[in-house]
Amino acid sequence: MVNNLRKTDCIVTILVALVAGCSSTTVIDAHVTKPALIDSQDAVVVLGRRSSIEQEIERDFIKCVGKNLSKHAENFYVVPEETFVDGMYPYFENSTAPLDIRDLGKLVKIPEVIQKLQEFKVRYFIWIVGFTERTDENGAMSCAVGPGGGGCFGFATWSDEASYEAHIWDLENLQITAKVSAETQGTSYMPAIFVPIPLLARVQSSACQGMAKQIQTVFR
Amino acid sequence: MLTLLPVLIISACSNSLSFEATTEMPVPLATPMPATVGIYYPEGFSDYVYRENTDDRKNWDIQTGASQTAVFDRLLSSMFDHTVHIEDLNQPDRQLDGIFSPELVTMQFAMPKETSTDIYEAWVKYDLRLFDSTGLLLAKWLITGYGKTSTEFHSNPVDGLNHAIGLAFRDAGSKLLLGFRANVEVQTWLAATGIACDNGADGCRP
Repeated sequence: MVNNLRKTDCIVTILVALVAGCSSTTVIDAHVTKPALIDSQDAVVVLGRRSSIEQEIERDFIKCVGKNLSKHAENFYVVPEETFVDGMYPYFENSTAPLDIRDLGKLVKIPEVIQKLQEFKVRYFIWIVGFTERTDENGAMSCAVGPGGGGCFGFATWSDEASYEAHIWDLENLQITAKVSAETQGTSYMPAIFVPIPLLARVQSSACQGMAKQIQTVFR
Repeated sequence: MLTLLPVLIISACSNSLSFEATTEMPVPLATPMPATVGIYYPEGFSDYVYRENTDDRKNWDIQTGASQTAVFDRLLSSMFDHTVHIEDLNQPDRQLDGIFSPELVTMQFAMPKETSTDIYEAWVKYDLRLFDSTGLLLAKWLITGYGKTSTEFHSNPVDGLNHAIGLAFRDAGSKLLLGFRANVEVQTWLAATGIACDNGADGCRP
C-alpha cells in the first residue's frame, strides 16, 4: 500500500516537473526613437518582411500580432495584412515593397499610392522579420497495435526558438519610430505510457504576445 | 477579387499531380492610360497545361492557361482605358493604339522534398511583345515571376503548389505594372501615340 502511494507520488512529481519545465522564456528588447502619437482616426498595418529565400515569416505570427494589438488598442485600428497588400497591389509585394524609409518616401509621391494610404488611414507601418525554428530533438517513441488494443511507449523532447524583430515606421514624418525584438526559447515534452501526453511550450505564441504588448506601449 | 474555382484531382499514385491552377489577382492600383489596346494570346496560351512525366514527377498535369489569361486580362485592363481581344495578329485593327501579346517562355516548380526545404516554389517567365496597329513589332521584353510558400500553411502538395503559382503570377504582374514604362521602346510608343507624354506637348492626350 505504502509502496503504491510512493509510486503514485513519484509519477505525479515527474509530471508536475515536466509541466513546469515545458514553459518558455521570452526576452523583449525595445528601442523607441520617438513615442508614436496616434488618434482614433488613424490605423496601423502589421506586415511581414518576406524577402529571404530560405525562411519565411509565418502569416499566423503576423495575424497574431495584429490580433493582439487590436485587442488592446482603444485608439487605433489595425488593417489586416492581406487586405492592405491586396489593396496596394503592386506596391507592397515581396519584391516591390519599400525596404527602408527612403523607399517609402519615394512611394508616397505616387498619387494613387498616397490616395489609397489615406483611404486605409494608415499612419504607422509595423514591419516584422523573423521565424520560429526547431533547434533540438531527442528521445524516441514507439506505438503498436495488437488484437488486444494498442499503445505508445517512450519519451520525446524538442526545443524551439523564436526570433522576431519589428520596425515601426511613421508615415507622416517618414522616420523610424521604434524597434522591438522578441526572442523566445522553449522545450516541449511528450511522455507516452500507453497514451502520448504532449506538454507543449508555446514558443511562437509567447513571442507574439510579448511583442504585441511591447508595441502597444509605443503608441500613445 | 478574381477567383477561379479549383478542380483538384489527386490520383492514387503519390507522385502524380493533376489540378487546375487558381489565382486570386487583386485589382491593381493604377490609373488607366487613355488608349485602346488589343490583347493577342498566341495558340496554346489560354489552354496551357504544364505536363511532366518523370520518375520523380509521375503524370504531372497542371492547367494554368485559364489563370494566366485572367491575370493578363486584369493587368492590361487596369493599365489602359479600353482593351479588346484579338483573334488574329495578321488582321490587325487600325483603330487600336497597340497590341500586347504575352508568350509563356518557361514555367518551373520545386517541391519541398526536392530541395530539402519546407517550401513549394514556382517560377514563370513571359516574353511580352508590343505591336503597332498594323502588326509591326515595336517592343519585346521578358517578365519573370517567383512564388514560394511554406508547407506549414498547406495540407497537401496541390494546395501548396497552387498557392506558389498564384504568387508567381502576382509577382510577374507587379513587374509588368511597375517596369512597363522603363522600357525605352515602350516610352517611344507612348510618346508617339500621345498616350503618355510631357504635359502640354503637341498631340498629348488629356
